[in-house]
Amino acid sequence: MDTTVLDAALEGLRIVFSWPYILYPIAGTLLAMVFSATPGLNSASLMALAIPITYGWEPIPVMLLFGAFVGGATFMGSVTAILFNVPGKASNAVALLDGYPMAQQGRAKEAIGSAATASALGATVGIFLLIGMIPVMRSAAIALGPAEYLMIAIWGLTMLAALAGNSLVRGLIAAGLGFQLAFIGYDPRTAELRFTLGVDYLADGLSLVPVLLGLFAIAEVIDLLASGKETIAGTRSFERLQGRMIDGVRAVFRHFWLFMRSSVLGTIIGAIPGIGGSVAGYIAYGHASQTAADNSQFGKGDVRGVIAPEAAADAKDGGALIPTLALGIPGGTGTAVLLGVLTLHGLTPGREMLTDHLVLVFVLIWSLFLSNWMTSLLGVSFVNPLARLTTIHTGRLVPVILVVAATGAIQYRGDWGDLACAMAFGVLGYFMKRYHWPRIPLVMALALAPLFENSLHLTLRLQELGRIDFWSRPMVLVLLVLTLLTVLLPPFSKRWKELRRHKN
Amino acid sequence: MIKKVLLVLALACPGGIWADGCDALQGQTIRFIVPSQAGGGYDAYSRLLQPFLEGSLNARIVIENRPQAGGLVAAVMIRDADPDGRTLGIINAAGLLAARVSALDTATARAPDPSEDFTVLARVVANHMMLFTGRDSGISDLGELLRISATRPVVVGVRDAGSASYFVFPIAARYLGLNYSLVTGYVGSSSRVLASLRGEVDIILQTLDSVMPYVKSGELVPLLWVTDPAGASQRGELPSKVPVLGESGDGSRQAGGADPLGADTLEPEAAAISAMLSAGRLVMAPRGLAPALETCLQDTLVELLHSNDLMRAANAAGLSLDPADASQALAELKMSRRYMEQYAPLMRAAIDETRQ
Repeated sequence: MDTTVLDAALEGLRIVFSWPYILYPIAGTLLAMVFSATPGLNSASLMALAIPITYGWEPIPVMLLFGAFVGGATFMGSVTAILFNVPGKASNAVALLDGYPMAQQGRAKEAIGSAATASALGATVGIFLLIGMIPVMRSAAIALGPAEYLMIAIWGLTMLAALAGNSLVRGLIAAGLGFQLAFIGYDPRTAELRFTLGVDYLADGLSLVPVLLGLFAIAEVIDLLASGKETIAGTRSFERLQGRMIDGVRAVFRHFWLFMRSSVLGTIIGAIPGIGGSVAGYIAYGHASQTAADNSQFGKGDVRGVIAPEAAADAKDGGALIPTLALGIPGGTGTAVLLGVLTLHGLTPGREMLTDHLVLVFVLIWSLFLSNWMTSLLGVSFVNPLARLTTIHTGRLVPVILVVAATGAIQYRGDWGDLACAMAFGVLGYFMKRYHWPRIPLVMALALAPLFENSLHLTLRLQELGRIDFWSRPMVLVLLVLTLLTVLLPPFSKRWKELRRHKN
Repeated sequence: MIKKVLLVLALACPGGIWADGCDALQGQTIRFIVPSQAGGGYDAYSRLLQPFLEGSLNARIVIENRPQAGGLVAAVMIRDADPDGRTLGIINAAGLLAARVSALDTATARAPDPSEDFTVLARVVANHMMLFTGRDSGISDLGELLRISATRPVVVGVRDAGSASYFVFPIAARYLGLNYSLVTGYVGSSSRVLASLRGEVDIILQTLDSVMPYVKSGELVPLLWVTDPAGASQRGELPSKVPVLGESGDGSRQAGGADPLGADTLEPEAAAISAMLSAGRLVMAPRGLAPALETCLQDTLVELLHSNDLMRAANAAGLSLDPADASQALAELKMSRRYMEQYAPLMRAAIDETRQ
């Protein structure tokens, strides 16, 4: 890295920690935490609200505040996911798959500890990868096209088998249902309406957030009521909760390579404009399950099922900034608003931003870094009162979860149809849980199918027109090898171990 | 005595039915419906207007983002609201008209008619659309594009078969004699810009303000004004003069380096294309506003949109303004609809071809 970048990095760091500038990321982080812990709200809403306030501000405070908005919004949604099965937003939803079962086992503190650590460290990896890529950012941002997106989606889909639990057939049927549900709404190519049954609400397709709220949060409420379980943790005594927060922190270091792989995955997938943020966690989760020597506990409270998606979900912010800063192409909704803010203050993302305003770029990056750590540290410091919530009697807790989930569904897009959708999927989720049908493949297929479908259409068309040569693209071949390894390595490895055991 | 009674009644009336013009809105909360998510182009314009409108009306403006169904939901919400001035919004008039006229399906066939179902308050900006190519595409100008088109189809990146640009491109291509292949599925202007930068497509059809940073940095090269550039405030910032579709007869002859901006009329077919696309972003209210309130809102918006403060803020935000008063906006809207209806059979044929 040349000295210009290093000097700018150091100057940016000095500015972030200088008085009174340090107040901006602190305030931004606290606000973002409140917004992200409220289901249905997100950092994009907060940023949009803050835009008019910052009209007359100098660029440095603006970078500090908005960097904190992006970074501070990531972790808190995972807390509600772990404690109550209520995801704050689509990208945190994956944390509930194993986080909530951990809370049910009285291990909420451990789950929050591992999520907070993976979150802060994952963001750090994402940010350092972003910094390392600054000199080649533009090339990196345009290196991935529909062919590569298609391979990423296919790679993610090969993980479905590993997420099917005990019944492969049921898992594949659930994934098929998820795929089918993803095709509801407008065809992205022809604008034809598909499977909407004449209902206008379905024209845009099913949105992931109400589906997740229903499938997990509402289904859990029904299950808690039906089972007559006294508390989520199974005990009313806080002292009897197992798992310690420090165990969760240690777990991240125990599974360090999984954490690192997930963080790198999150950064790469986060750089896919528009869709990367919501699927990064799912692909990391699938990868963790598929590469685990024993994945029988995934979905039942395996700490690796919290570490992998949390690391990816936070590392993706670094990735999302790659196309935003290099080309002015937003990686997600949050970075779309950020882009508007940059323009508003006379900063044009692209070459000029990465040369003439490099210090400001680093102010933004370090603010993002600081806010990620702040949210995790605050989350950890409140771990005891948070974990205590799992020992509250369900009679008191159920109405609160129901209200939070319902509010989240309505608030998400201000559409009452989303509440009906959440309720319908709540009933489906309850019966799937009761009759041991895996819900994870359904959700993962629903999340990945739009990326798969649109990338497939575009790849085929571009190949047909001779605009790309699918088989001569290096990243496609790398992803293809990765996909084949993901599918073939686990059975071969298992067989190899069996042979060696037999031999010994 | 009668005057006193009337005064007491007026003060006692909530909302003040006798209040003049915008007085009824003072201290009220006004919903401003936006057909894009936070951060989208329509959202940026709405948030630009918000503080100025709040100051002028002495009311609180709450922005509601309703991006569902490509903006249809937002349009329906504005149309169906009570005509009391407390629900306003911004719409993509060309997109709504294209959806309605092409009647792709049951939902779009029921799309509101922007020229009939609303009270038009003002136009914020017209759609100044241009053809762009990526810097590394090997296409330097329109002449080069047409020469390439003579040897192979030019690849065009567009959103989907229901978009306004999809509606118009085949007509513009026929006019230019352009041999082309469409690639649909690039949802969002960012994905089309990326496709262009990656070299997947030869050209894209975009509004100038949505890609101005790329034009300034030289990443995108403007090839042709597809709509009339008059009123495009950022026209002067283009690196070189760009020909206009339909000026001085055959668009293909523009590539020779003549100064097309000197021309003052467009060929009829090009004028139709320009009219269809340029309907723009309009601030609307439900039909049936009280006449005094309607006039007041229209006057307030036009005054605001021409104010130096708002123009400075727009300039700082990189947003171009091309305001028009309600009567001009409505006249353009009606012309746009007329042309779209005229060209609808051609459009439907193109859609059917894509769907096969």
